[in-house]
Amino acid sequence: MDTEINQKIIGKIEKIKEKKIREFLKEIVCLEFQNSEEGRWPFREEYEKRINKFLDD
Amino acid sequence: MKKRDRVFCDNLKDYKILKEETELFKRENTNSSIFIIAMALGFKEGKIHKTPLKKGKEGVVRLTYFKEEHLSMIKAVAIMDSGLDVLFDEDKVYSIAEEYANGGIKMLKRELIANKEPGSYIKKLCTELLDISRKIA
Amino acid sequence: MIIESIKLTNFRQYQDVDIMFTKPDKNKSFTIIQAPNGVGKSNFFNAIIWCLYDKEIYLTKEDKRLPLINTIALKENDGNSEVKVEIKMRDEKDRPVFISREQNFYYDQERKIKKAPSKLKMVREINKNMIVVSEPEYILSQLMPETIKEYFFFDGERLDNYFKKEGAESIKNAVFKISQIDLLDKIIIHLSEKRQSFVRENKNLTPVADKIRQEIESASKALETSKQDLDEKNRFLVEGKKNIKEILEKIRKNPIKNAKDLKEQRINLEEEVKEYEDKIKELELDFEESLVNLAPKILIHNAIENTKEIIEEKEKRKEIPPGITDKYIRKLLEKKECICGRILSNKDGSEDNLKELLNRYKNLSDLGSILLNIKTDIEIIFRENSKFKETYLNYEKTLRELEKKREEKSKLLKKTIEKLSLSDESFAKYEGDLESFNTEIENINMKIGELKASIVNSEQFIKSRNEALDDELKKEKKFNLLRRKRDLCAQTLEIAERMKKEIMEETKEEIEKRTKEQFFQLIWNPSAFKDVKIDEDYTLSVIHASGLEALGSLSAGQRQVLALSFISAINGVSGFNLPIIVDTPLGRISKDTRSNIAQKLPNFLKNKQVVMLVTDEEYTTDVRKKLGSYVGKEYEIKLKEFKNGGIAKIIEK
Repeated sequence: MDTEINQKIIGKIEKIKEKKIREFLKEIVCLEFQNSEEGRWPFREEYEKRINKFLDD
Repeated sequence: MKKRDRVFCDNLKDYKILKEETELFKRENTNSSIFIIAMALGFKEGKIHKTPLKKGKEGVVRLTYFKEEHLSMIKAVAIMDSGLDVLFDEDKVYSIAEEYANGGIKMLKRELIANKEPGSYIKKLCTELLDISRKIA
Repeated sequence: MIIESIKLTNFRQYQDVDIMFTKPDKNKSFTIIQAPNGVGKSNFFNAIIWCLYDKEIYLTKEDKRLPLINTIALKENDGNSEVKVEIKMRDEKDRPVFISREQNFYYDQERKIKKAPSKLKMVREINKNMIVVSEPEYILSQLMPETIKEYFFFDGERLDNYFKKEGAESIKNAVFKISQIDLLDKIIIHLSEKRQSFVRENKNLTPVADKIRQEIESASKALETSKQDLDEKNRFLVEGKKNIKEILEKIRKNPIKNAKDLKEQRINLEEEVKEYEDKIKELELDFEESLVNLAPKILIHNAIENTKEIIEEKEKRKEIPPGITDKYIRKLLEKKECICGRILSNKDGSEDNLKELLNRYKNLSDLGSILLNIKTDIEIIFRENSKFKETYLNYEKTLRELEKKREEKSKLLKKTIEKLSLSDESFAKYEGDLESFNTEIENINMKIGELKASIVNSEQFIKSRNEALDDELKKEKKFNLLRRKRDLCAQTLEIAERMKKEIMEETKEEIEKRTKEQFFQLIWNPSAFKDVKIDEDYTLSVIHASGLEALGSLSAGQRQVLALSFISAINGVSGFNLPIIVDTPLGRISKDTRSNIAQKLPNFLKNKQVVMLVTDEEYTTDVRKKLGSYVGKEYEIKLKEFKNGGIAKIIEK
């Protein structure tokens, strides 16, 4: 793919110091990206999963 | 003169008291025994203790109540007191005995009745008797 | 991406059109499609938009009433016809990408025009093979996202909108879209919502765990105290029981049994002592009695001795005994016996005879006979007196023996009594102790009962409180969990918002910078202006050389230039390399300005594929000349109207 997620966003995410937040943000950005065409908020569960995943670290 | 048939004392009450109120004469409580021992005590103490009888003398022991030995003792005392010839005067013999007994009774009364420990006179008596008996061969 | 060719089939008036576009190499990057107004210039533009995004943007009133499909074609095929637009493109690596959209139209039973959903197809070269793409919409959205289409495919006559009041919003939107922070935006919205939901959930949990913990702690302390108390009481109990056992043991071993024996012993001893005392008393009395007899004899011992001596003397001198003693005679008389042994009687005068004899001898009053009479007694008394010492000592000895024995028994008795009283004492003491121990034990047992009950209560209370605590802890746990979730969301949210702001800021600056560059490059009087800015509120502003805001006083042409600069800046920043298709770029601009722009345009849009749909008015000879060397292809749209519709053709000039 020519364009995935805006490199600016990726770049700034990588600069986040807190590992937990950085990885969490990466995952939900991907989530959003994958579902961005939907325009709805059906993947709440996916959000919830990611939130839980990064809480236990 | 009437022949004497008894010996006399000043006061029969003395004999009564001695018989009733002393331990010594609880059992052997004839007047004759008391008379004899009184006489002996009086004799032992000496002539001073001869006490003549008073006017109101009372008969205390009939002569017939004396044992033979008592009579012998009375005579022995009389002989000692007044010599052998006194034996001819029967009356005198008994008077001597009476007078000694009189003194002796007073002693007995004194020793046995007035506030004395029972038995203490007896002990005294025994001691005296022992003393005497030791001197006997 | 560049467009190589477009083919239209039955798209509105374009029944059958197939045209080629210039590649942006050799400086010939412009493709011009000229048409007078009303011919369908905009529909051609729409065809491209429709193919890519299944929508038409600029529709006239008329066209809105008409179906997409060419009406003539539909009729001719008796209600079964399809619209198709095919765009052949090349990607960055010069690989072919075919994008086409088809839509079937038909008549229903009432002869109403119905359409099937349009279908997008994409075929592209991958690894030297032409592959039908399985998700064309997705791929297309990656190659040419719809959100930014307006910065590549736009109506030149509407560029003024950027400077209107709503312009700031449009610019902001542009920045927003170009910076692709819609993702972040969505993240912000979603995280916000999640955070809110966690906060809401937590509001219902008000953990009182600490309070319960305190309750449990103080109850536990009280319980501990009670238990210690109980232990102590139990120890006392054990001790008390031990004490009682000891006492019972003592009692069992000693006093009572002995008391019985001792009592017997005492009775026996008392009897013995009494016996001895009796014996002693008797002995004493006997002795005293004898003493009454013995004492006078000893007391007059001198007299006895004296008399004995006299008698012995007389005997020695033969003065005694007399022939017959009156004593002898008296004795005969007493016995009533004669000397010869004959019984005396009054009848024969024997007794009288003897009596007369007696008188005779009585009268003699011989001392000797008297003495002889008493001789025996005196000798006996004398002998007795000699024996007195012995007698007395024997008496004493016996007495002492008896007394000693009595003393012994007395002592034993005393000891026995002592023992008895001691044992009585001890027994009383033991009994007393037993009683007090028993009372104590009773009290302790009562207290123990109370303590046990209280302990059971406390334990139950603690148990129930612990259960409550567990519940609360679960709540607390949940509470904490929710809080942590909330915190994660909040922190990430903050960062996302910050990122959004930063990126927007950076993008804005970038766009601003490029807009300024492009403007000064494109404008024919650059010295008149000092600066081009996009303010914080996303309004474009142009600063006159004098320093004053110049936006309001810009000419139409200048505004167009600004707009074009902005567009160019945007599609430069966007990172996409797409063809620019502009409908009526120089429409409302005056002749001179148009000329100016036309002059600068090619350089400005250098290396980009540009398709311009121009009206006759704007494509003047001058403009044509100015653009000339950059134009690769020139087309004309010609429309033929028929009864049932129109057919337009695009012919190369």
